[in-house]
Amino acid sequence: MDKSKIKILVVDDEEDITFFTAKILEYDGFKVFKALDGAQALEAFEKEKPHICVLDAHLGYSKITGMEVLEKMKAKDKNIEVIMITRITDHETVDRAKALGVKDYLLKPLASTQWVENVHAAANRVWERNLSNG
Amino acid sequence: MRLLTVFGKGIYLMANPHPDEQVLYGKIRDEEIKVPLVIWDLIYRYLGDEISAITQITVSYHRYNEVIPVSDAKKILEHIKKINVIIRKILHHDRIENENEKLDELKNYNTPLHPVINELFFHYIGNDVYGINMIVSYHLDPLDESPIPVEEAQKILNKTFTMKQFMDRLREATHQEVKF
Repeated sequence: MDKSKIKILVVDDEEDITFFTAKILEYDGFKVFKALDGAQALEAFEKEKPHICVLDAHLGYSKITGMEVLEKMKAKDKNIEVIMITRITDHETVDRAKALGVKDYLLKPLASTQWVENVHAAANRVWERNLSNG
Repeated sequence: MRLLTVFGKGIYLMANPHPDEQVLYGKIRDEEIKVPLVIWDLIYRYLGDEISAITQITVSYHRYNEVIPVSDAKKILEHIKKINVIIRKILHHDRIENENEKLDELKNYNTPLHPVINELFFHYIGNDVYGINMIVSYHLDPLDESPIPVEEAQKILNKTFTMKQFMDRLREATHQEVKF
């Protein structure tokens, strides 16, 4: 797998989480874009067409929530792999995310490298589906 | 310290459990003790973000066997300061400070945390934050600033992992589903 061909969008309203999450993924060889709110996320999604999105479900005071970002992205690209990182635990939200095709729903706080394993697994799926034939 | 689990490239150790842990969690379940929503928000919204930020900064170096440079160690210290503000608000609800505009909306709350949860919260969050503070502050001594070595970064990750374990377990024990 040529990881440099896999584009990942990282979205979180906490700047250090976004920056260092992106740094880890860049170090692992992926092409990474960052967004700090819903509007930036959708702009980056339209412009860069990422294969994977690491998305905070809540996005603090952003006018567009993480769930709305998810819905809008999935409406335009049902194959985008989304790893939701969230503190929201109600069944309604979890079920909604799953119905939209979210396979990985991780609870904050982040305290391990589990999310990195999830990103690598998603990257493998993207590679097999879209990029393995060049 | 006891071995907890192995993942990624590191062995993570967890702090000693609270001596009455089983009893306290049993009480939470049996007496259906809940966390007031405003405190829940402080724990899972603000504290969760600060712990996540410390984890991501640390992992971004530890994963590649690199020391944490002084500039980013200072960022960890900033997140610890924010956590300390949150802890003061949770454990001493009558002491209202207004250092962080994000917390401004919460400055008038006066709901105490149940003593059982208070005990566990202090043991896991209070002690681990204090431990991280000690590690980072030692390396940021103004007379002799130095990067944080990989083995010390491991200790920081052990402590953020312990805090996450506590928060996950509290979530389970209280059976609280929260939507914002």
